[in-house]
Amino acid sequence: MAAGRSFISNGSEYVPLDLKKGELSFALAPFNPHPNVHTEGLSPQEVKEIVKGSTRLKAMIKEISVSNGVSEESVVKLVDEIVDEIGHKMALPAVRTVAMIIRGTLRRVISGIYIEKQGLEELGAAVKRYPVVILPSHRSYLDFILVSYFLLENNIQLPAIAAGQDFMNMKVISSLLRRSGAFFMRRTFGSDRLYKLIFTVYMQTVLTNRQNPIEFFIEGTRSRTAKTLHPKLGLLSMIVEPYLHGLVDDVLLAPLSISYERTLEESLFARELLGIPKPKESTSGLFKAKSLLFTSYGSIFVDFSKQISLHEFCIKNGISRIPHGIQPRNDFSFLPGEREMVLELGYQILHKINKKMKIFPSSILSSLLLHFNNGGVERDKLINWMDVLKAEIEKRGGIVHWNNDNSAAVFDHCVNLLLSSGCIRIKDGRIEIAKVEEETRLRHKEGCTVFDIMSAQMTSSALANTLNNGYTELILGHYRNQLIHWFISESIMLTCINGISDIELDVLKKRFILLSQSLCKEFILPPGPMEKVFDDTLHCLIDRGLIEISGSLIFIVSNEKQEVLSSLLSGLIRPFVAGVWVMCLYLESLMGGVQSLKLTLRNTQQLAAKLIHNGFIDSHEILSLDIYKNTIASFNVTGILFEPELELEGRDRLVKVLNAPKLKELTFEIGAVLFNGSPPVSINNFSKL
Amino acid sequence: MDDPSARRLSVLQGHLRKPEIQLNKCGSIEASAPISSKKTEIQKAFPRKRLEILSWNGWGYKDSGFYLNDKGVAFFTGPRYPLNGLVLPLVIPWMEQKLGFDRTQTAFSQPPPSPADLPPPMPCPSFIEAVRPHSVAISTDADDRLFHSHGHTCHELFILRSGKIDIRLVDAVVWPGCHDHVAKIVQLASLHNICIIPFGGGTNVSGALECPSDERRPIISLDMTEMDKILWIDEDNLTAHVEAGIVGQDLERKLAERGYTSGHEPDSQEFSTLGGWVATRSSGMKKNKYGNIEDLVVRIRTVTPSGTIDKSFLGPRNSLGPDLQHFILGSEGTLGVITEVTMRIRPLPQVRRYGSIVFPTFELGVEYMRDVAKQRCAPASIRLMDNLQFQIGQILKPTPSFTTSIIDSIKKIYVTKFKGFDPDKMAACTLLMEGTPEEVKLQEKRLIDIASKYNGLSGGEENGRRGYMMTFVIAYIRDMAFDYGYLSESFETSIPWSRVVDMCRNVKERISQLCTDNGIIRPPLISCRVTQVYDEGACVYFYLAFSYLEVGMDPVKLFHTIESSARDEVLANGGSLSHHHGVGKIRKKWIKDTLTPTGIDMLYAVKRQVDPQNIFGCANLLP
Repeated sequence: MAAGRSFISNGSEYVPLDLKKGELSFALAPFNPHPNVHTEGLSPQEVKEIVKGSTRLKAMIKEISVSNGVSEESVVKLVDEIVDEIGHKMALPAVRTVAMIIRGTLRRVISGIYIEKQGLEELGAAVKRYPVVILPSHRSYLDFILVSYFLLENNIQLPAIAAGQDFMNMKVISSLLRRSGAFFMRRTFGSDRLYKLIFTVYMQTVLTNRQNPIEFFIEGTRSRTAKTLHPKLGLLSMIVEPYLHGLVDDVLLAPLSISYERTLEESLFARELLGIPKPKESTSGLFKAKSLLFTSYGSIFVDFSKQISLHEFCIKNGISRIPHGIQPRNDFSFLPGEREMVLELGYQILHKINKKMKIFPSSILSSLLLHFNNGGVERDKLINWMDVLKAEIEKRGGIVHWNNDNSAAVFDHCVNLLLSSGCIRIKDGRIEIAKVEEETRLRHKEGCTVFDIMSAQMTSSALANTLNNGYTELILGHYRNQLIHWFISESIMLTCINGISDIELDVLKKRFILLSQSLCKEFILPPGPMEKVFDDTLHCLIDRGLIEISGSLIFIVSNEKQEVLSSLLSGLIRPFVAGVWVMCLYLESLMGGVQSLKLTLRNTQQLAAKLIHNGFIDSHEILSLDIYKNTIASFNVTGILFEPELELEGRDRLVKVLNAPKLKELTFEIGAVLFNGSPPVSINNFSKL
Repeated sequence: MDDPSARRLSVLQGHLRKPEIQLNKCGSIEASAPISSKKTEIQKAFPRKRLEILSWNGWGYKDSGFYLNDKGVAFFTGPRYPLNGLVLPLVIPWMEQKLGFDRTQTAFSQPPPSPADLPPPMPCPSFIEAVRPHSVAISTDADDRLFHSHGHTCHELFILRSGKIDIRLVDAVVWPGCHDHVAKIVQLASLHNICIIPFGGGTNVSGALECPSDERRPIISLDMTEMDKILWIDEDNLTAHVEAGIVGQDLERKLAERGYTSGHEPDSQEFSTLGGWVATRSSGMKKNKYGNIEDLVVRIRTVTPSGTIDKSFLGPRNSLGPDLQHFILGSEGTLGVITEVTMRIRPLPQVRRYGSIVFPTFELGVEYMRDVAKQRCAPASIRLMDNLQFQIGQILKPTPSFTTSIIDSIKKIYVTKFKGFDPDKMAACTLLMEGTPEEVKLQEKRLIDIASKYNGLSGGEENGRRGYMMTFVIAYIRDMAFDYGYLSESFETSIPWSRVVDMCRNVKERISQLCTDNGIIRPPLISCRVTQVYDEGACVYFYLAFSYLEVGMDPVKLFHTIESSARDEVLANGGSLSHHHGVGKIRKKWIKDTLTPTGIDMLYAVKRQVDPQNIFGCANLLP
């Protein structure tokens, strides 16, 4: 175990990684982990040879050679190239080198990296016997090497890490990562069956050989918004397959929650969300990212959830391996119910990751600042509300990391963090979001249409200012987003009631379901049918004393503190709801036409900027392209939009309204929710019934 | 002697020399060996009163078994076995090290119950009186009833040893002497509504001999072992017509006297009967040369409540719709009782040669077996033991140190090649080859040549011979394990080749995880071997043993939990429900999923038609 004093926090024991240890003693520390009892101990090259020699691959080589009329040798050559493109070349010195670079960098900007002790020990025990898949949350590039680093420090077998192909463009880094155990995956497999098979066989060979645990990111990519992303199921399916085929008796899935008090890439992410061209992920870009590191980034926590036994999970979900016994083993296909099980497993993993993610006080402070957005807020009021929100999160099972007993000290600590990120400032003793002045135009006359807004011009300096403020708010949003999942269905329901004195249960239910559906890709909603979620949420809010029910009418409890809390909770998702509304408006203007996805996103963002500029909407977060991507995806699910998937590379996907009446209804309902029944802008005067 | 007429003559002369040929009570000719031959020769595996020489609560002969001497050293005693008196100094130290064996912790059997301790028989005087003229003997003695009410599953023996024998017992035992006896008894049972459970060697390991606890009618055990005659031998066609109650060792001895063998050699051969083999679809060690039981039988006579099922010809193979004999093979006593069987016999082989091959790993051994099967050059028997069984084979010998013998002898021969072998990983394959000297020589060479592809090295004949000799004494080890608080069982499956290695590993892992989950502290023993090869797959045989002493749970329940989960794992890995042990009662719960409900309905339909009163109410096989 690494040196350093362990401590108890929220009932778990944490051990700090020793960042201060001298380079030499770090480099020379013995590393001789107990190998898995079932491993044959294959070298990276031997793994590749097994992949190339697999019966599945051989059969496909023959098939392709025949169907494409090319020689088998040429297909084999292609296979060799792909295997080399994918395969890792893990070597201890490289891992040490990377770990040393990371240590050297982090030492200056991080106050500590803390690993939950019991979980680490359980992971260490699991990799000695089982095939293990480590599934970390993904908020930063740092995740890639952090896991290897602390496993190295603790003498536990290092993982083979599935990495995105973007890294392969960075020559030095990709070679270093490859030697640290990374294997590379193309972003899309498309229709390339050969590539898909090779990657599958490679991954499964690494898994079944058990030499190294496998590590991959279930969210697929770093979450720029710090919200948990929906699970990507491709790699997970590849893991499930060998179990169903009996190649392994079980796979242990180890969800890992890596919580950053401050995300290293916060500013890069904000720019990306705004669509300000991000620097290509090149080596020089990463070094530039490094230059951001010279401020304080607080601490990093690594928490483990109880490992999920794939075997037990399958039994619980009624999935039997027996039907696969009558399939030849070189020909795998999922049977009914199995894909659904994988999906369920994906959400289960994310649920576990989420539960153990630390909520830092900076998240709470950011939420408050974004909510009380008008001018500055007094310190005392913020401290007071931080305590309230902390208690609410804890009531719902969240783990809040209060690094001091004294809330005022905690407050000062995170004010300093946010100050150093440049997104807040202190003015006359009040804390406020750092903004540049924008000249907000007066509203158009009552009842203006979306076409009026769209045709209005914005000067480039006005647009720059708006975007700049969007940048600041998106950074704060990044922190607020980390706690939304504890409230999501409550926030949706409160949003539907907010600002109205009372609401009929039926109307509430209809709105709740509409809004939930519109946000289904934006957030991970509680599982189960919407009706049940509605009932559960309703009762939850009644129990918590936030709403009251009388006959068929629902009220917000009229006690000042509860009212503010209600509006605070609904405010958590207000930018996203506003985003949905903007999207609706834009799509209505588009009605009947077909347009490329890219253009749709850009135009919607422009519309958003103008709505802000005209003073219709305060939140600058609606400038985030991500909201519109997610909304389009949600609309695809609900059938409002039709987005034909074009297989052709390089062609933009298209957007087309499929269900105009439903879109109209949604525009109306969401407008009503957002603007107390009277949205200021409509598609035309008739739609405002 | 290729001239058939000359052969017939010699056979006739043989018959004429035998004065003892006699008509038995049923009027058939007994063709057994002359009684007047050497007195010391065994005539029959066991007498009617089996407990005179068989164990009441464990395997085999009561004078045979493994025990610890005063110094805590294991030894084997058993005057009928070549290993009699063998001292095994390595066994206990090995068990202490690998299994946490503790000789101070004991769980010896309770003494045999007195008749008063057992539930009294359900009286059925009128039936007994009616049957008396049609049987050699009838018994309602407590010890006979107890002996005929169990097989040899772990939990049956555990109950016997526990002294709390609260199971349903048969109410009487009847010994028919011939087919006609059986026909009459079954007819009378139908008349009096009596339940019949046929009984052969009593070695069943699927719970098939357990009496259904909810059976309200009297239960009669139909002990077939008095029907032990070879009724005729047809040397022109190499067939023999044999009464189904004959015990394996008696059959082989009698055939051998005439220069023949059945070639059927299940591990229970000393005690199990021909009828039992047919009823459970048994498999013999040497099936590669002689076939499994379904390949060996030509004609089966079966008495059912609706009449006798038979056939009117002895031609090999026929196209007459589904083979009705396959309703009987594996019927497990649910339809009727097998009385006579015409079976194939073979001349005794000129040469029987053993061999052994060691492999660096079990996985390589399996690849070798697969290759042998692919090339269809398997010898009479070929078995692959995993590392644990290889080690057990090494400690079951009187040598002072563990790694001598096989390893040393191989080292001597292959000084350099032996480097890759780790005694904790290597696996051993045993071979049994039969045929003419030339055939055997060629076969051995070919088998060893193939082995070299898989880094296999010949381990010599002696190690092979020992491997097969151990087959018959290994069953006694369980009784000693019982004495020291271990429950043990074997189970088997058949599985496609590509799944063998993964299944073996997965089942071992699953069981060991289950043992941990259930609070079993000492390391369990889980070991397997590949015992049969086929074109498309293999039979795998598992041994499982664990100590229950430290676990609070009821041992029988604990055992069921683990055994059942082990079977689940076997099935999940593509294994079959059984290769040759049968379904009985302990595997019934899986049969519907295995064979589809419609398939099972077919079996039910046959059962209803043939036995509408459920006279054969053993409740095996059908869920």
